[in-house]
Amino acid sequence: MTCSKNSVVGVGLRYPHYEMALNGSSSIDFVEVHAENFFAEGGITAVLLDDIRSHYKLSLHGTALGLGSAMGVNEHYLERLKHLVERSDPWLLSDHAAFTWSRFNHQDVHAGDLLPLEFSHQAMTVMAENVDRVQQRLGQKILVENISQYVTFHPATLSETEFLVSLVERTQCGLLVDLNNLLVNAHNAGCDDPLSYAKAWLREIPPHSIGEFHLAGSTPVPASEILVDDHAQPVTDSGWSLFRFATELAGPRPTLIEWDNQLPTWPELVQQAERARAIIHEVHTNAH
Amino acid sequence: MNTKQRIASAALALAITTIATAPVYAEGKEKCYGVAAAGQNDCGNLAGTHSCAGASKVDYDPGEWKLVAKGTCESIGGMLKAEAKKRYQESQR
Amino acid sequence: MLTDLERKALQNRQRQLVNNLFDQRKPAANGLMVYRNSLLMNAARALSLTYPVMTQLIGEQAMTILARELLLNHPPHSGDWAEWGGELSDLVRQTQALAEMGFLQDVARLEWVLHQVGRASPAPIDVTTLQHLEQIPLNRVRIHVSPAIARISSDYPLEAIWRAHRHLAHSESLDHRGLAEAVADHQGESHLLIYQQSAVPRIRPLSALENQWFIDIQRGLSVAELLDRHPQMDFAQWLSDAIAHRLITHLSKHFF
Repeated sequence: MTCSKNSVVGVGLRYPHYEMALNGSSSIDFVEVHAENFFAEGGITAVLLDDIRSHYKLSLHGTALGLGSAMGVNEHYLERLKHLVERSDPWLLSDHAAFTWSRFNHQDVHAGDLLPLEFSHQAMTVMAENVDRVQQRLGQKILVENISQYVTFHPATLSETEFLVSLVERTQCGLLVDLNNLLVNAHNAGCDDPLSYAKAWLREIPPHSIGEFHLAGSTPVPASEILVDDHAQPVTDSGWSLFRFATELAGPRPTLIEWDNQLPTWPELVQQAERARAIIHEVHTNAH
Repeated sequence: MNTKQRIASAALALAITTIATAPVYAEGKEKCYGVAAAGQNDCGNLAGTHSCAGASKVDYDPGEWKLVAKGTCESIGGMLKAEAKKRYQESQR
Repeated sequence: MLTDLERKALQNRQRQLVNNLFDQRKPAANGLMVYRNSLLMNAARALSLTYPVMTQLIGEQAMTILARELLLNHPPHSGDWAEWGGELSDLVRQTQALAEMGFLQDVARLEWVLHQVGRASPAPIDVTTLQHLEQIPLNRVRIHVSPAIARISSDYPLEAIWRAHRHLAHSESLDHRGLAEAVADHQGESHLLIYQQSAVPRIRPLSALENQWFIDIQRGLSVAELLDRHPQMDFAQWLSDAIAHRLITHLSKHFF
């Protein structure tokens, strides 16, 4: 078996793990950090970013770009993101299919969260304009991630996948497919079989447009309650089977474990990423 | 040369020595990132998390300013008050 | 392409959701509550990280309530939670139950300044301009304080209160005795200098003399005027220290 290095796995790097991740050695290939945490001009985060880059490939994951905002993306924010991209030369760059910029009490505000989009042609046009502008400005392709959502806008004339596929066609952006978000949304939409829903969703996405996978686990709740994507658990069994299916479908893609609440130890977190690597290898071996 | 100019020239001489020897230009990296690098945006990609967190624990009643008793501020306030009182009494003697 | 009308309508639909999130007084359905909680918890967490000593002083619940007030009156606008919450000191002053503990406002002010200084990228001094001290008449030479430093004055033993709390998060208990001694020793107004060293913000006390010296520099007094006004100041020592700690950026020459 040629165990080619076609499996690239990483974890979201959070501050309780800094010392472990940056002072020892680790088998993972990349880490993802939230872009805005490194917007400061100087200070300790600038030092930290250099340290991270000297150990791992860097994925910059924005949480605030608000690519679906009908107000447009805030110019000052974009300027700072550009500065950060130039300074850190990330291997991957991503944000979400969400809106964040809006108005409240007669002032421009940032919503501080990933707010859901309506899946309509109008919303898609706005999103494509914003993605175009961001890619032009940064001189780099971005990956757009599907979110978990807890309210829906009524005039949905497109499905989520139609919306995303059309966005990719118009802007040549890539997709970051968050597999857990698919399962969370399926649960909250009342699907009996979230896994089947998620597989069907994936079949509607052209494999070549997928640039990265996110994996995470959420705290389980009874079927009647809202499942919140809290990134507080190991990846579930259905998460792993969905990942296997997705890898069979799209081929190996950089894969990241997100864990944000009730963090495990660093080795446990790395172990989750290694499990993803093992699955990629199994799929690869079976295919040959 | 007047006095001020002598002071200024001495300051310049010492400044030049400082620049030549000061370690600030080769700043040591602090490996202890600490809370300073904790990351205010680490919940930003999580809609509705419980523990970026613990919504249920919070008492929202806007009148609940008694809540301050949960911290150390009352004991600091007490210390400052006691000291002020002591000083007042001393000044009255 | 979108018509202006379609764009406006979409903006309004998005705005409506944002209004429902930020104005938490109206009742909301379950799905919306997830977002409201998320917003409040993100805000409270960010505020506690930016103001760790305040959090020790008044507790997490009070911080959450203050976060909610700030969200309503000073919503975030930059996309970086670390830049939000600068109005906390004002809010504490306006909040009856906290206002009587005057030191809280000052602690909040100090922590915000520390946070800002810690994020700055202080430039080293422009060395060539030091030559002005010998080449230009001193009444035409001015000193420029770095924008990456700050000074704070307080009626309280602010530094002692801050130091007593900064390590509390690591489950140590408050050093009551040390603090009580500092309170007893404290006389009148205290002045602090906040600057960055080795990428971390630092605090050090300023004497009344040194504080006035800084004020006069920032008022634009020339080196000649500064030396006339502060004959007790050891200028050589001060300048050397200011360079080592990047407290000043350059000297400039001025014409009348």
